[in-house]
Amino acid sequence: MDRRKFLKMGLTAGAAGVVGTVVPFPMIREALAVNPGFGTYKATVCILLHGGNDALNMLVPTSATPGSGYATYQGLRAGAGLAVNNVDLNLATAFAGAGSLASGANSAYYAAADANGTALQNSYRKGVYDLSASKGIPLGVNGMMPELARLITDNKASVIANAGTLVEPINRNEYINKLKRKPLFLFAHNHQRRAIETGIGDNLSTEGWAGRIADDWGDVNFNASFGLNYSYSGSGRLQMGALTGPMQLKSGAPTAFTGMDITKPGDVNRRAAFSALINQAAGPFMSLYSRMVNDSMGAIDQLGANWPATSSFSAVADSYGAPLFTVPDKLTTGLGNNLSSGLIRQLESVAEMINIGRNTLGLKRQFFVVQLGGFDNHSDQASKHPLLLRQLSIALYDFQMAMESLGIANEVTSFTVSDFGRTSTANSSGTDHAWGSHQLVMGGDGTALSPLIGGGTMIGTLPDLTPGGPDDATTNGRMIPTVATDQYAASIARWFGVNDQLMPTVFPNLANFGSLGPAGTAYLPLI
Amino acid sequence: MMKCCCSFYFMLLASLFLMTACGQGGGTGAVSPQTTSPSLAVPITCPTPIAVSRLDAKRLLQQATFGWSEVQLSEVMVNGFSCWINHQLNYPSAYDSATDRHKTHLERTVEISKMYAPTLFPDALQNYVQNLSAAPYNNAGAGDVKNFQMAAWWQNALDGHDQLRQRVAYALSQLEVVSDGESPLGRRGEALAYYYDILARNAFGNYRALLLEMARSPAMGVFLSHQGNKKTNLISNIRPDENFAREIMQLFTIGLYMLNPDGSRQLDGAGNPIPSYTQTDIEENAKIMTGWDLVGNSRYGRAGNTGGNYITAMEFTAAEHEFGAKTVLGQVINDDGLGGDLTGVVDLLFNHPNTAPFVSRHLIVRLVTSNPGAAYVQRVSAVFNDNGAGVRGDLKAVVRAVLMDSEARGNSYLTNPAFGKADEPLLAFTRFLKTFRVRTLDGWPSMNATVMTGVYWYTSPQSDFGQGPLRSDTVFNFYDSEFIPSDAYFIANRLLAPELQIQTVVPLANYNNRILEIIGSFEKNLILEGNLSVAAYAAKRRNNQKKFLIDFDDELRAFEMALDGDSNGDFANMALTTLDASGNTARQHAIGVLLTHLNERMFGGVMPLSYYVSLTAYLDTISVNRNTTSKKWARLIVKDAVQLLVSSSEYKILK
Repeated sequence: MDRRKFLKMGLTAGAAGVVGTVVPFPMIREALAVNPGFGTYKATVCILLHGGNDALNMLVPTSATPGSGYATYQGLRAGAGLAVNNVDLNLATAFAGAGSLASGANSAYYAAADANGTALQNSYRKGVYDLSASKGIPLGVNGMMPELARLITDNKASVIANAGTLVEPINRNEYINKLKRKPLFLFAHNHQRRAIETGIGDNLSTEGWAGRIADDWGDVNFNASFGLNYSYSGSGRLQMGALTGPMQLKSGAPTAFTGMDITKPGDVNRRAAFSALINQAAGPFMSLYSRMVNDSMGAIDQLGANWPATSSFSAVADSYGAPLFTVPDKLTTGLGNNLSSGLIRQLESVAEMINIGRNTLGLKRQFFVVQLGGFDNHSDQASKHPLLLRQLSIALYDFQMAMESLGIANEVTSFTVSDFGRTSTANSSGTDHAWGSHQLVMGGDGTALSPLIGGGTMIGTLPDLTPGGPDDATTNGRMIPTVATDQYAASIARWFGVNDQLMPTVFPNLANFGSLGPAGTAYLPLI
Repeated sequence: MMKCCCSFYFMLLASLFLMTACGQGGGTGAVSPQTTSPSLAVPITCPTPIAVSRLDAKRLLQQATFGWSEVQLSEVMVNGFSCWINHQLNYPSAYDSATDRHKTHLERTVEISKMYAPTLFPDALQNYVQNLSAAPYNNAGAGDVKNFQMAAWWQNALDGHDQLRQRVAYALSQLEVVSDGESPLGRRGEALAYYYDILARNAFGNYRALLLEMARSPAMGVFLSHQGNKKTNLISNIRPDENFAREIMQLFTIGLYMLNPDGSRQLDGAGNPIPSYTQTDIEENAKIMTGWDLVGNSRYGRAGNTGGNYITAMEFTAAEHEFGAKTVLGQVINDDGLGGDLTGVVDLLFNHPNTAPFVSRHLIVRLVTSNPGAAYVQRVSAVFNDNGAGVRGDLKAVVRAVLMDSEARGNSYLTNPAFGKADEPLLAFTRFLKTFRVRTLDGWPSMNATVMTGVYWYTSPQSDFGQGPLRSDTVFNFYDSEFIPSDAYFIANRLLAPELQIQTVVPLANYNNRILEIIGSFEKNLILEGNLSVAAYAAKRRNNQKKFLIDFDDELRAFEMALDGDSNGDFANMALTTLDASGNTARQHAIGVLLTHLNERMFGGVMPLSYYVSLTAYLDTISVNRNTTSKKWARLIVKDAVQLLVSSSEYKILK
């Protein structure tokens, strides 16, 4: 019987069963299990830049090409104080590797406060780490992100240029005259995140693509509590399947249910009594709630038993020479404001989860979602965006170093997504919702043998930023993507183990991008 | 004053209940002086009472309040739905008179600031509110103001007699979202209090007035960045900010797609939803949303920690406004040069056919059920469109329609498995607190070593529960309004359960743990076991800890009456091994009575029989050492019973 029929059976059983009794979900999973039986470990980490990252100021166009080069960018952004200078901050001297990054006023990006802005704003605009000479990429990495520039230079990260939600390839004429299908509700945060997460830009009501993979792979890890998906980002759709959802966590050691610790003699009877209550459920809401509580307690039992008392990465140095996953203070960064710590903390926990999952529990596949919020910089962008970019750079680097320290960099791929890009034009102090945007992919050990991610390249082409120009969907610089989010997600999913048979279920629109990739496929040349 | 009211209720209800929940039980705990909160309960008068069952009363109160005491429950039981709702809809509030004892969120925030920091900032916030001085709290202490605002929220939620108004305001705060997370609101907590007052004042007013006040409020201006929004400038190459222009349409009024009056989506010939606006509409609307700034902001544009007035509607600055007529949704909005185009577009959106089902549905799902029938939405929408007197947007009529609808009050909850909702964790928490007679823990020291009385303190519920009033991460509220959980039944039937989106591994543990923290730190009988008075205990609480006071007096009294036949506090028969006619020890019998008591108070009498079986068996195994008093033994039994029930699915799922 094919998978679809199995699925339908499962749904019917659930629909009929839940009203009266609790459906034993492991049984459905077993009925569906097409466990691929992976022999080796792989992890994928999706980094959601929540709110719509202004990738134009993260990766600044540096060429002299009209439209897609620096002059056009500068002309559009300078009036609002949002143009990053096309000055090379010299990565080789700024940041050669772990521990070599100068702090405070000695950092390459540092700029003092003056009449034009604070130290933070001026540092944001000071300059870039040029990728054109070393990598042949016509972009400069914002001065806030020396670690990212180092990762790209060392072939451990790549740029996917002007990617975004698409149903099929579309150009300005086709967009304006409605000649091709386009994603539903462009420029709206929630629905564009959904389009990314469902992997079906013209069907926002479906499950997420990582959820569909999990549904198909069944009990991929042979562990009732530890399935495929883990979220440090709440319940986005990406990992929601028809039958499975992510284990949703918060960074740090797991929080136990006080008084319900199964390992404490004084708690055992109370825990048993609570289980008896929780397992009594009538109707769909209570049945679901019961399952959620049981899943939570089961996850916490196992995590609590395995979580390390101290960080597994404290002996490895970060860019400033402090232990990995240290959040540098404002004196160290020289930015005048402290960074928030959310993404660094989440990726630290993911690193621990990978270590536990791969090396203690013997899991085979883990898919993580983490997020950094605050990118919806309609106003005051020059004071907000630099702190986010600085944190992102540190978080990426620390996570990569952690994977290298475990010797598993080739088994872990990370990638960014964001709601959408932002307008190439500006309002008085910020930018607005747009469409195509640059994304990052990271992983591998940087050697020629590394299986991953193109190794220090830019995939795709830079758009013409001219308002109302050939790549603008509107009149204010909302770039039409030339690479579909589905394409790069599918490329990573293929590396992760999704086979050709399953791929159309996971990314049904992929075939619309026919011959862009290698060997006449829609895959990107990542792997 | 509490004494008076309690006696009044006691007389009124004495024939119905042996025990009331007015303030203190029989113990020796400190009486909380309700000196400043709106404490004057107005008796309900009902010309034609229609008595309803305990369960029916409980169901209304779970939809319309932050929880209930036994007194409030009996009010509904005696008088019936309609009368109680009308009583609440016409209840005196802080918004009727500026001089009465009812306090607005802002007034209460000011009072708390004076109590908390009298020397550091003498009357600073009050002087500012009274327009006597510039903004206070320039640096140190500025972050505390939002904590005072949160304390005011707890007080209104837990002690306010205008429960329905406060509950609707909270529902509206999840529709027209602002949050302390957007700088500088985290250091201008008075902006949040002022904003919440807009919601609470208009909760029983007109939605149009609410929209207008919301659009001009400093909190919304900062949160969605139309405060300081500048007109197109071709030389600097800038154009208006589209943030608020988009969200006032997408999230506050008409939504993304055209709706039928029953809230369902209209579909085009290809079966796709029909967008209700275009990007061009947003760009036009963005032009309207220029020229607004904080009163007193010296530099148009940026809002700082120190400049500008956050408790006055934003003012219009013509020089920064983009003039000329704008076309939104095919309608020309004229520009009077005085900011009237903002009113024009609000009127356009207010009168849009989507707005009635959009707002009506929101109130239904926040108050009653996550998956309302289309006819239910349509009935409420019709009231939104016309309250019966030709008035559109009358929220009093809409709220009444939401709560009096046959789907809310009838037997849907018995026959339709999809009826109901997962309770919001924050509301489950307030419900728990009110069941156990929450009041303020008085006498705790502020950071400035002043003695705090009449103030609840729990500054960041969002860190525990994933939600807190005016504490959402984004304008999209705590959860996706279209969230469908990963569950075969929910997916097959396209059932929504937004509140479950935030009840994940850690928040579920946190909920259990916070309940346990309250029971294990703030229950009066537990405190007294430590040989400290409640006041002395309060004095030892540190600034950053929560402050509440609950008691298990009623539960212990019921337990002891069953155990010993008296309530003298000795719990003499705890260890008795003699069996009664049913084969139970006295303790086993008392446990059964306790569970019946909790069933009535917490579940309206429909706690599953299996809960009795499981809990009776477990609670009887709780043992203590020889040095433990019998009363403490009994308290530990009550504590565990409550803890387990408050985290049960029967408690967390509302039908």
